[in-house]
Amino acid sequence: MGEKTTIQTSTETRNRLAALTPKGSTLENTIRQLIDQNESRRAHQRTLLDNRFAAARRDPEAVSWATQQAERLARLAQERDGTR
Amino acid sequence: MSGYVLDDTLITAFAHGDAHVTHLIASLDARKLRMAAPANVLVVSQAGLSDEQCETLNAVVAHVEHVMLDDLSDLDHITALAHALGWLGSPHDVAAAHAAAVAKRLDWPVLTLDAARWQLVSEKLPWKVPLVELREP
Repeated sequence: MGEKTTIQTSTETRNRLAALTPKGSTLENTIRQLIDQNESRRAHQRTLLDNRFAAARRDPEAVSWATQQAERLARLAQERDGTR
Repeated sequence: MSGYVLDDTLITAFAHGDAHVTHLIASLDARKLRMAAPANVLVVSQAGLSDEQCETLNAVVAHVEHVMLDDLSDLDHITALAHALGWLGSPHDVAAAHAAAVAKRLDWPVLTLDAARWQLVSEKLPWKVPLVELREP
């Protein structure tokens, strides 16, 4: 680990973090684990979404329908913006 | 540019893997059209879904740039939802009430796959809920 710095938290946050930290470990280890878990979840979500979008793109009927509807909705939104 | 409020028919269709709705959300995002996803619509749509389906739905809100979660973090928004719920009466239809309240506040239409789902709601609310119905082939 590189250079050290200081972050300020409320006492409550510090205590919650400490409660998650096993004996012999450090608060920094806990923070890093929580960051890793969050990044991992976001990456999993991103994969689920990319797979879903890719599957939809392989359906020509869905692409055609959705493109037409999106163009219509964009026109309607522009008209609404124009009258405001 | 203004946008659209996503209702439970649309979000449920996405959650169940509907390719038309999935590509529609991607197409609207590509055109920078904003989409509001009311928290209570997400709650109702996620009921009974698998963890994977829920996570895919959460991923849309977390990762699609022009989809915005309307999460009721503002007290006035909670009150507006409560008023809408009051007008709709019992049994409570929180998904419709939240979508209608967001549509009123943002002055955006509700995007739905089934206008009939909104008929009773529109009759009970004292304001007009603008709807845009999308009919899948």
